[in-house]
Amino acid sequence: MIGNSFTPHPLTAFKYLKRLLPLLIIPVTSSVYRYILHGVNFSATFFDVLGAILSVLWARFEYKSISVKVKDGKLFINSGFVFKNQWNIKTDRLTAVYTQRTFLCLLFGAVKVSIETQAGRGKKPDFEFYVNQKQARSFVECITDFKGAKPVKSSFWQSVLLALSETSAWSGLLLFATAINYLGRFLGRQMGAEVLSQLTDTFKKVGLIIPPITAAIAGLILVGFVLSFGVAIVHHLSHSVEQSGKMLHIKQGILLRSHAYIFTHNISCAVAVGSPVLHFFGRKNLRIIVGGYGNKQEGESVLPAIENDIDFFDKNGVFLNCPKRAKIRVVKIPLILTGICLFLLALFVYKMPRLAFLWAIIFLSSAVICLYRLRIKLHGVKKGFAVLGRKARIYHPKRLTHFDSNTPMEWIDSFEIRQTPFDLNYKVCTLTMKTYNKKKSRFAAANLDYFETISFLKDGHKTERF
Amino acid sequence: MTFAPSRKFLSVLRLRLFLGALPIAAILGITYFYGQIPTLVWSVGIFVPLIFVWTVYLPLLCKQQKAVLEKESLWVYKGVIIKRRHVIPYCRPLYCKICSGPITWLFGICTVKIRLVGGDLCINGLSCKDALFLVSSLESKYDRQ
Repeated sequence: MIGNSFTPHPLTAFKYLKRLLPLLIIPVTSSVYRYILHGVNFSATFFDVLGAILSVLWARFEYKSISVKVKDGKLFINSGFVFKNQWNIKTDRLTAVYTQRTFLCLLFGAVKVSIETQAGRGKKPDFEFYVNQKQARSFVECITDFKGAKPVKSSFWQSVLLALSETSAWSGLLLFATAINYLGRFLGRQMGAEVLSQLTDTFKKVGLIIPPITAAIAGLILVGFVLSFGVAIVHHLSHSVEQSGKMLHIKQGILLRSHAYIFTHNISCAVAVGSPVLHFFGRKNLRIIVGGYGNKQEGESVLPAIENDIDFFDKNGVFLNCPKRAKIRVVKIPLILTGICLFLLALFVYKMPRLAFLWAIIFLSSAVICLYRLRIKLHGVKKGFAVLGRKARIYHPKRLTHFDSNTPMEWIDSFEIRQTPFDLNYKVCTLTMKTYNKKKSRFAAANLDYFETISFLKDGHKTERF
Repeated sequence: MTFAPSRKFLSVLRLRLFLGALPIAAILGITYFYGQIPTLVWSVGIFVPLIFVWTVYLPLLCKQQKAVLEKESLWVYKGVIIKRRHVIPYCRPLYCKICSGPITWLFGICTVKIRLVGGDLCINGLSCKDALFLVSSLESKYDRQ
């Protein structure tokens, strides 16, 4: 580190090689291995090795061209060897900074730093690079101005419940299948089929009531679940939250530690998320939604496995500056559904008493669910929260982008005036407004008077009616 | 204050057009050589649109594009047939990014990408000096607001 400039760790080159790994490194290793053992296919091996060297060189040049600098509350990033990019970001426009230690980082003593703004799209952060641990700490200090506070630590069981709620047998199975596939490609064997046949044989010998192939598939699903749970527990154990001023610091993971520094003034929504496991224990995870959250689809779990009580927002006080009453949304669907169900039930009882029993069970169960939801909703409305389905949400009123069809002026991101050759003739235009909300981001008004529109926009949008 | 594209931007656009049209021209040239398409189709189908784009469309494209710093917002003018004006209040841009590829880098010009929540806005063909000045003026306007 020189002053406030940060030198990326050589592992940053890996970022550029990551996509090429399954295509390049594994075939190269495999072909070299075969060439050494059998002495065949020299030309293919040569070209594989040449390609690998060239891509490594390219990644090295890309890594060398990166420079990160923090000065006067601004973040300057230069990157690109052939296609040059220069970022100029004000630190108060950032929504979050993440530092993460992956398995590779652990080996090379590096930390992955991701920077997020509201403009982040998909699963990609705005920018990410690797630095050593000391530099990562000073980078976070420079950017966030975070001072330590008393952390709220989650208990071991809370972390386990969080890991359980994040566990998915499917993702574990995918991990297992990929590992088996690559091992098979490396050894030149059909490992997937071999594992399945081995499992089937084992269950045949045990002599279960269910068919051996079904037991083998169930076993594989169990392996996937265990694998996924293992990954989740490593990621979520030792979870703690601390808040200092405008910053929220979330720390989690035992071996592969990750830190999330989130700017609270950019938090748009808090969600209480339930899952079948959590519901069984009468608990919920509290998550927050920040604009442009690159790494995770729906925010970070701020408080895992807290009591299933609607008052947790008040109790835990995640938002210091959040007003007590947020935007209230009354969802009318449960009321209407319950009404329809009761009407149909009455009709069936009157017309067809024999079938009424069967239908009564279906209708009554759905009515009970609807009424249960309605109870939660009414409770939420009473408390000033918006509750949607299984997820209780509290919205920051200043972060709402539109109420029904009215959009507050301060949430319009940019305007676009469009004129086709026909519009030019009639002095009209189409005005498109883009808002911060990504799902409903565009509002357009066609055939507006061109001069009025221009004067409206040039007056600094001070006109009340337009 | 107005920021117009550099004079070299037209050359860059023409070079891009040439490089883009080269493979198509090569394929058509080979077919012409083997007598698959007549001379008239060859000349009308390829050269007339190319000459039109080269001489009329690209200069107009360069001429129409500009960025103006107004009192309250940044105005970006674009488009030849369908005219577009983008109006961005100074407090809206999240950050600016200056990008240059190998061709634009050779000609000493670059693109300013203004990152907004709703999407990016590109101002192409500015000279590096102009681009830096635009970014710094946007920042100062944001600070003032």
